[in-house]
Amino acid sequence: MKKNNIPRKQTSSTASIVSIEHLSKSFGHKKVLSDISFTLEEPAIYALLGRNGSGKTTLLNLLTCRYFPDHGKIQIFGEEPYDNIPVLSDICYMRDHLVGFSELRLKRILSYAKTFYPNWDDTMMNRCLSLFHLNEKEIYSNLSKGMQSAVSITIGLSARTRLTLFDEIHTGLDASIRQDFYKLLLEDYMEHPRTFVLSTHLIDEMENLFSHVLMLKDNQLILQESLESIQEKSFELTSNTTFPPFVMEKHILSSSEFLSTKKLLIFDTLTAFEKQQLQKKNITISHLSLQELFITLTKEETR
Amino acid sequence: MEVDPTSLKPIFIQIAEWIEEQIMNHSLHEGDQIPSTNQLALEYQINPATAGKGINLLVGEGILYKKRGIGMFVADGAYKKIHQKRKSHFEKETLPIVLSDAKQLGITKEELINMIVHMPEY
Repeated sequence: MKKNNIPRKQTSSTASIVSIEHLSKSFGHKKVLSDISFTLEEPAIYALLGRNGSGKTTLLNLLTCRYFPDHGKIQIFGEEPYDNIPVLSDICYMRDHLVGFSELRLKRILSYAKTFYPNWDDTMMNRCLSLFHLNEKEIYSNLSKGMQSAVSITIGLSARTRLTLFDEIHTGLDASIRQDFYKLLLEDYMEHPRTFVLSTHLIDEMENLFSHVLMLKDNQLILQESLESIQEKSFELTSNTTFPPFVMEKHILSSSEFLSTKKLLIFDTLTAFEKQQLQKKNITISHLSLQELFITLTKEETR
Repeated sequence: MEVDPTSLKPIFIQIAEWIEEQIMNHSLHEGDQIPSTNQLALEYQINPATAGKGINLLVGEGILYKKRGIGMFVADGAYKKIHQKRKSHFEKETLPIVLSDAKQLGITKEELINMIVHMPEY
């Protein structure tokens, strides 16, 4: 389905759609990203996680070529993305508000957006307008913060780009509408499989939407893994005695003690046999959520 | 149908267990088609890869099988397999915990057997 005669880029089915190698970016003296390397697959929904100021937005802007890296290589759909119209028109970056359109009516904004994206789908647009109760006649700056986020979601989903980047796009949306958004995202993802990257602080709420996780800390990418792999390695062990030696060999994230109860957070696999050993010693094994993992991994070193 | 994000188990395991439960309580029979990965993903509000993993878990155990181009089906002997699995889990994991609890409370074997004998429901 192509409009405007811009052909969709084809890469071989096994190639990654995005390849980032040794990417670094500073703003003046401030180093934001340092030697970042990763690939993005297709189809997938990536979580981009990081503390405030960890470089998530910078990374997303580098992917859309709004910024240029100081070092490193970016390949999108197997090509250099800069000034590359076929590539750039298949990437959509949306944050919770649009800049430069404040006095326009929504209808006009959407008609402009349509011209940028060859695969734009009006049916999806109307579905979003209806779901979010958006009135096309409204002037953008008169919309509430949540409504403005809804406009970004409308554009982001209707664009049907091969790579869609949502930068904390749920800001201002109430809990009920957020659920509607997640449902719509999943439905459209299954009907039109493609790659999404969502940066978010609402990790608990969104954890199960993701297929993969990217985590930034201190200018580095400290984690890039499939969610299933992460979930298979995230454990909280609680014991009223000691932990068996084999546990102490695991990748331990943190340990704490309260009265005589010891707690270990580990990021490592546990075989069925090892789990049985732990249960025999009355050690409780519970699953560590992605949010808890994130908090632990990105904790500031205490002075 | 809700998954419990605070549960002790990852979501894909909860999905596999839900399917097993449907087989155990005869909502699903051997030879029945189960909901597709996408249907499960939508129902549970999770990524289809996660739903797929739950299904693959059961395929690996011979509880489900795939009919190419059609979907996933409950395998012959699935009920028996799940029953056996759960019985084994009871013996190797549930029971040891009960016994360990009893031991901690100083309940003797005789006392425990006596308790079981006098259980009206059992």
